Amino acid sequence: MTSRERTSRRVGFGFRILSGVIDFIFAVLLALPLSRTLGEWFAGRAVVMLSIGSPDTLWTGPIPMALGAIGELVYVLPLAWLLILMPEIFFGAAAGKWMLGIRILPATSVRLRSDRTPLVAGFVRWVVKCAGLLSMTLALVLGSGVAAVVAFGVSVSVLAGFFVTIQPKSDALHDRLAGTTVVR
Amino acid sequence: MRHRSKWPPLFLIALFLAAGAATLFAPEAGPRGACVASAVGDDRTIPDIVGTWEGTWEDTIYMVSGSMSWTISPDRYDYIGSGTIDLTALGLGAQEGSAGGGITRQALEFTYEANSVGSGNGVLTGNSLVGDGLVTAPLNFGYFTFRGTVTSEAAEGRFFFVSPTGGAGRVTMTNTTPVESTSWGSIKAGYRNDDE
Repeated sequence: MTSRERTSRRVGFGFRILSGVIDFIFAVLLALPLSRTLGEWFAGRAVVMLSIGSPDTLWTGPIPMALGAIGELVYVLPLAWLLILMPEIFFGAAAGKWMLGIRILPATSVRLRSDRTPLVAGFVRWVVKCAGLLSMTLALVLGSGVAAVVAFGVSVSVLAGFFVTIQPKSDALHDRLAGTTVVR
Repeated sequence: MRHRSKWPPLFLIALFLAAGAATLFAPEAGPRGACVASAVGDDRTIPDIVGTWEGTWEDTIYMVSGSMSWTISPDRYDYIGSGTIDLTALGLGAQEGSAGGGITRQALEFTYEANSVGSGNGVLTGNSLVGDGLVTAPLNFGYFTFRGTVTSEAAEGRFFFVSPTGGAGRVTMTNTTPVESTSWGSIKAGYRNDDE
């Protein structure tokens, strides 16, 4: 453990939510140019995945209509968000964490200690944290309604796991599973 | 001051540059398919559309609907219209709009707009209606096209948003106060006579 790591403080709920919001804003900004290219293809896949226009689809009503109207942006957003969060694997911080001066480190406590290298730990953390986004992107690529339901369940589980486990003095679910911690 | 890696922002910049570069090669966004057609040259007469029109719009993809009403009046050599579209289902309530247009070579060309909805234009040639529009903020539904048929008593048509996941549906309207046995030409002629 370096002296810098020893002097770092674990980051609590507020900073992490804020970094998530910043990442989301960057994801939307990235989705804007992507909507002109990949977005149209993803919107086409969403038509298959959600059976849009089919008589037996459940994807009806004003909210699906509003989302569908900007479908090229909405349905490429999971991929854009994944890309925005990808630096967390390699550099320990994506845009939000970098701007707030916080970063991911391998855990040093007994409870969270991991034998994984930082890169592997970062990858495991990214996969767990982004499980909902990954499964939603996969569901879109496959055009599978079942996969979309699974993706939704995974997203809710990951989000619930984050809120249930994160405390001022403890790590979020994906940190616990990956053996990482987020420090300032 | 703690050292921060320079790689996250560089990665971000590279990502946005790549996405931006890909956009340069993307086809231009805009209405695809049925843009406003120019008037055909045959001698079809335009139905009398003056009156109060009542009807509904219905998105048959997302099962959302509302009412519409328009009042169309002659305005010297042209016509003007005003009306409302009920967007309560979308949380916008009833939005007011206006329209205006004139006849050019057997075609009635018109534009329409509503502050909180968008704007567009169309052409009525004989009984055939075609046009397009753009739904702007706050809904931002994007470009749409429409086509249909219009008589002096009724109008029906279909609209299509150009996004692959965009809505599509139909509009049906009835002229509740048609100007009976009065041709558009005679209305215009009447106004011309008034000027003389």
